[in-house]
Amino acid sequence: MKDIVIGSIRALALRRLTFLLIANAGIALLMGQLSPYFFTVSDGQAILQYGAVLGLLALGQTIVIISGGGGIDLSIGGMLSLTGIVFASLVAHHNVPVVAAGLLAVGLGLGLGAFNGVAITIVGIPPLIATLGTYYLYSSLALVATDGAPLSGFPNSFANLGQGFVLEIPNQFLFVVVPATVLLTYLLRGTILGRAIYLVGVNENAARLSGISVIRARMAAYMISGLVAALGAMITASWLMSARPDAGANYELQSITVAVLGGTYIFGGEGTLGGSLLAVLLVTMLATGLQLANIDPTWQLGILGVVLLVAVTLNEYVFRQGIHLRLRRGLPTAEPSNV
Amino acid sequence: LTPLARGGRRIRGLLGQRQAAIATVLATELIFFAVAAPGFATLQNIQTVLQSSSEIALLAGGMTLLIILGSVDVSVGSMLGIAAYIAGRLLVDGTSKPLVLLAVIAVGVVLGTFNGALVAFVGIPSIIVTLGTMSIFRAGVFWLLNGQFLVGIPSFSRSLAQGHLLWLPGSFAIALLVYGGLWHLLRHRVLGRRIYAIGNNEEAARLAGVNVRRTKLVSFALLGALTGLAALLYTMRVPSIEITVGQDFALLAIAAVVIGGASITGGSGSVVGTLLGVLFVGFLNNGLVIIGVPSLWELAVLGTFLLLSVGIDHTVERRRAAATRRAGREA
Repeated sequence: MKDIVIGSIRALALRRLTFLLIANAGIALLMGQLSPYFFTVSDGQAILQYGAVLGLLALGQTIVIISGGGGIDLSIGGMLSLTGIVFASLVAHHNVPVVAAGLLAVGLGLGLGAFNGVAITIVGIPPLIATLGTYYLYSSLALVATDGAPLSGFPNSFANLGQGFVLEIPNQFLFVVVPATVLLTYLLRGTILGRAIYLVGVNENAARLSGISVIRARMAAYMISGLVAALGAMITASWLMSARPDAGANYELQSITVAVLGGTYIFGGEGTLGGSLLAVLLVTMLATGLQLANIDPTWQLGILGVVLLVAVTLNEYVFRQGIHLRLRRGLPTAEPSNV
Repeated sequence: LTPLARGGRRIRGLLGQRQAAIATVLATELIFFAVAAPGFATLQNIQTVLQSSSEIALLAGGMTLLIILGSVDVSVGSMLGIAAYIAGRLLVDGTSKPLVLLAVIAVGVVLGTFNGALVAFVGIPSIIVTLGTMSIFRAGVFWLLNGQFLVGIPSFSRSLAQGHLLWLPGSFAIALLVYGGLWHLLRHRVLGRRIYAIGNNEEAARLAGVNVRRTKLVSFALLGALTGLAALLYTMRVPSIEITVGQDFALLAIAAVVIGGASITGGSGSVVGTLLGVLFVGFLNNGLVIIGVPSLWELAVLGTFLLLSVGIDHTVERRRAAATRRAGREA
């Protein structure tokens, strides 16, 4: 009996997607018990609206971590704050049409991501320090630009993106998160660049010797992170109809947590976007459920920290299992780099 | 050779090239602010900066060990928050001072050991562990404060921290004492040499018989102890404890260590460099405020200096490695 229990826990840990689906179902049932409002259409909509931004950022963070070399993007929230402020000031103070301002914000996001990428791949600063530096740089610039005050003054029609629905589904989920997920999944699975991102994460030297440009693959990863941060900034602005200079605060912890919980290996080379999104769903249900149960949001931070530690410990265990399996089959094993 | 150049060479020999560079940068900074900021170059202002830098100095001292080891701890700010609350609570309750000191150091050691155990025994990268515990400890501060400020810390504790040793603020003298101990530890004790060895090549150190796990655990615990001491100094300096206590301390400490020349990938660094880095960061914040730069800019300026300092280090290192390779080919 004991063996069966341990065996099934082990099997679940190794099948991350199944594990996440079951965990999601469990959390949903629990929250349904805590609050009668949990299983309503409006609450489902709220979860999709609330989780959309984190979902986008999780895509970027996951790809950065997969690309390896100690890959991590601590500046992702700072990029969200800064692109949001620039976008809002273009629309509200400089009368730039929303679409043009949106394109400029996306361009800025790509630029900020490229700056990270250059600092990491070409100058050679470790990602941890490079993105810690730019995190403070980007988020302070957002604060300085507005003197700490939020910006508003969007045209009313702009609220459609963050507050509207089509077929009861929130627009930002249907028209931003879903297309972004499909495109990035195709990029990772179906293009040479995507395979290169995985390969440089598994073994940088092997990738280089096979003629893959490590710089190009990692640059792309950090630029994708900037891109999703800009998209997240616009969704946030439309949802709240204002842009706060600290809109991205705490998203670095949240996005890293969901990426790791979704099964992304912190040393690079392994991870799926689907896993990260299931983890976003789980974390978001937990957060809204706690809100419905009137539990103070500061606790969420602590719970998130615990989730991160448990998830990363689980991953370490799973990966060791993976190494054993590979060794048994005589396959080469990835050597985790020293971070 | 002019006497100036000879003197420069002697300082270089004493400090090493990297420290000479940061010493030059620090001197330039001091001269710039002394000229540009009225009231900067007064004894009182310098004492204020030294006093308010002593907590960062203690954190950065412990952080130097971790960074040489190839690790990092971003949870020190929240850790300091918990210890500062406990120190404040005990002082309010009138507990005797030696007991308070023991209590905060014990709290720091426990929290630091928790981080260290996860890094050393589970094998999770230190940035991920401490990112997680940063939030957990912060929730702990929130729970302890219960939505209020902790006030009423007796003023005798402030006068103690504000006392001077000749002209040196008491709290900074404590920090200097700790730096002396850390310098001795890193240079002359087995533990210190093991820390350098692990940072340079963990696998080689392990094969040479170094107990890697224990060294990591002890280093994290030591940082915890210093964080506890820093929390006590903080409580003695600041009249109330609020939920955001120590929020930017981790960045300030890491920036000081890295600007002081420790390599973030491990294996090199010194407490002398870190001390210069702490002074650089402390005088930077103070000078910017005096010349009227809004405080919102502080972190942006610091982030930029962090990137510049590491960027220059890596470029120089790469040039040197390339030159060595070339020399090797020609030989």
